[in-house]
Amino acid sequence: MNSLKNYIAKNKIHKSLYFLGAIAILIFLGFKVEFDFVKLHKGIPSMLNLFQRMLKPNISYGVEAFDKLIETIQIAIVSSILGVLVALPFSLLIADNIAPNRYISAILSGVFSFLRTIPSLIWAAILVSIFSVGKFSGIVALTIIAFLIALKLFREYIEGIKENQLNSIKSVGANSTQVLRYCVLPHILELSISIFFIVLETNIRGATILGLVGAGGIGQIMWRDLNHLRYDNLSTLILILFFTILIIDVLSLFVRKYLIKKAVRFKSIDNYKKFQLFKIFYIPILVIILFLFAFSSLNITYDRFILGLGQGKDVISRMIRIDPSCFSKLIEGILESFFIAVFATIVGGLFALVLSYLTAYNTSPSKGVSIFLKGVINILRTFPPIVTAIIFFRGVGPGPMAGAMALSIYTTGVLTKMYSEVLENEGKNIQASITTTGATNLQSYRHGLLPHTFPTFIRLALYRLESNIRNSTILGVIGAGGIGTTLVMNIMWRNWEKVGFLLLGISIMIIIIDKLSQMVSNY
Amino acid sequence: MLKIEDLTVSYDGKTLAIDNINTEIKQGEFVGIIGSSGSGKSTLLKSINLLVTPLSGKVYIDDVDITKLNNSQLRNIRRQIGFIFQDYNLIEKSTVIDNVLIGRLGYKSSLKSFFGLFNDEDYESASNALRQVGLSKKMFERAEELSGGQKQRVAIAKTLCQKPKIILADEPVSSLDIATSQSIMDYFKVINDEKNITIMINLHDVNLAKKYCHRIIALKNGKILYDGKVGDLRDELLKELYSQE
Repeated sequence: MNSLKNYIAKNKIHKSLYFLGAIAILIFLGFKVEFDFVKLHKGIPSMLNLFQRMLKPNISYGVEAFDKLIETIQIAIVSSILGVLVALPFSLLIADNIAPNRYISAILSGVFSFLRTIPSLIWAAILVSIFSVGKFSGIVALTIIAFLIALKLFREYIEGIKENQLNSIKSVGANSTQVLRYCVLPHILELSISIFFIVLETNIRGATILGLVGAGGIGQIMWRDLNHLRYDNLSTLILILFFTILIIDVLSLFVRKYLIKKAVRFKSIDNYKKFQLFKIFYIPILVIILFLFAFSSLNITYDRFILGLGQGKDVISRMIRIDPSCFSKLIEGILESFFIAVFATIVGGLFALVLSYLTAYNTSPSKGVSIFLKGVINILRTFPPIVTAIIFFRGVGPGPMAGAMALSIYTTGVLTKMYSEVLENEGKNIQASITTTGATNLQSYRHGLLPHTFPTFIRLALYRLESNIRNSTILGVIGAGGIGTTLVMNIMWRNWEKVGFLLLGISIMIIIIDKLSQMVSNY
Repeated sequence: MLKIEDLTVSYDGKTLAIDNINTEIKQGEFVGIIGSSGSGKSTLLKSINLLVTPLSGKVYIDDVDITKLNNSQLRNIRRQIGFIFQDYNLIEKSTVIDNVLIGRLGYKSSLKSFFGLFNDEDYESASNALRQVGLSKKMFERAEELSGGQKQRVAIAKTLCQKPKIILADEPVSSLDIATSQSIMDYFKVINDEKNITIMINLHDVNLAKKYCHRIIALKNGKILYDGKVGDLRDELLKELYSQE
């Protein structure tokens, strides 16, 4: 009996400690990101005013913005195509189970995980100062991002092939090229289409903000309108973007779900043989056409390109000679970015826990609430946080608070969507097993589904933390706190030695956070 | 045709998965290997075509020690050895005929097979093999659309395409229901009877082994406990074989 009492008492103490701990951390972080309720309260009227003005979009402006919109979409599509095409051969080199050479694979993986820590906007800013203002820099920046995402996805797929599957091809006497061709490549075409759309979803968001550093796309005029206080124009742009992103997301979902399942059916072996022969021609032609299409939209002259390459070489050689004189600035900026990311993850996480309960079909009190909230969270996660931060400037002024709030909203949106899907997919039986005891819906969530799926929630939140860290490093580009401000200043002044040092610092921080979060989620 | 001498295998360098095994198998034998899980059945089969590299010992196929071969010689030997897995290991998204054609890879140059070019002979032997396992109708369907029993029949067809001298089957019926298991075993029996292909099969169902095999090898902790005719297998031995220490 005593042990049961102990258990109850301990349980109580643990729960209150966790709760108090979370509150204390949140207060500390709130202090660090200069969160201020008074400021927020005072800012609300002017933000409401902004929304009111935004509700009257300037439709005629839409025509003017159309060119820029097309350019944005073009940047996203071209960079996604290039990234996926280039990533495929590299994935064959670095996937653990088929890599031809362990050392090459280890070196490449190291280089790529370093490159992965640099956000797209920073790539764009650096490329703009090498290749001049324009969409070329944007395309190259997003191609790098697309390449790194696609590489990761291809690699995960290939490493997911069971050892016995590879063995089953080896055991017929096949050599390593044949293993590659018959075990790894059969699904790669379908998979590439699927990966292309996943990458496109990321890149269309990326492409909208490239303009902030002059790398083409709709962000350029968005930034101009913001500085000219043309909120009617801004609202038009935001509306256009919302629908564009929505259409691409829906298209992507549709293609990934249905189109891929369709396949050609054959009646006779002869036809089948002809088709195999035909494939030898049409696949290379398809790849060449895609490359040609991609290159044709790179509007850069040969001379400018060569000049850029020279400058690029210069920039890289200067970056390698890192200049640690800005060490204190680095630590200060990185800490602020870190605090913003953690703050956003915790706040977003708390909101997501509550909203997910209301959003998931099986836990929501009513279908109407669920559908309404699904709409809301989709709006929340449409916009890159940097755009939301711009809107918060109006209310609370520039600074980490705007950045932290913007990132919190984005995190809430993404995390709610992911976790509510987990709730929907998992645990029909768990819910039922609790409700059969006569418990209410909320009780069955609290004592059944929630404890059952909480580890998954933590994993998702940690994954968001990794993403938030990357996002918080670019918030500074527009002055919303963190290391980004210092970084962009130094890129503009072409202090490449300092830029090299800052990038190294950011990379180390991100890699440490990623490793820590992996450790926690495995634990 | 197959001789195993002092074969020892270890995965971690400490515990022995196969502990000094010696045996000889003649052309056309139907050998069942039984034993509880972890007894080394799978490892034994996999070391015969060197999917697992032995720590020491020799494996002779037609008097050639295959542990000494270089890569291309090994591939030539492997093409004479069919291997069938418990979990089928078909390429799920590829068509059935493509999966069967994989059996021809050992006879193809890298370049031709890279472009997916197979000649009429290859297609002929693939469709023959499919006919033998009664799956001609499913030729152009994707492997993922088949049932478990059908997938295992495709795997058998693939192996037949290799024109093997010996087929190694690693628990080929463990994921199937009783009726399907019997029908798969019937295919093995037909192949063994008609083509005189040697068959070595891991089974955890002793009754299936008794019904189909001529000879039984019983393994326990990586050692041979019994190696002889199926008729001489005693119940006491089976009790010892499956007892836990």
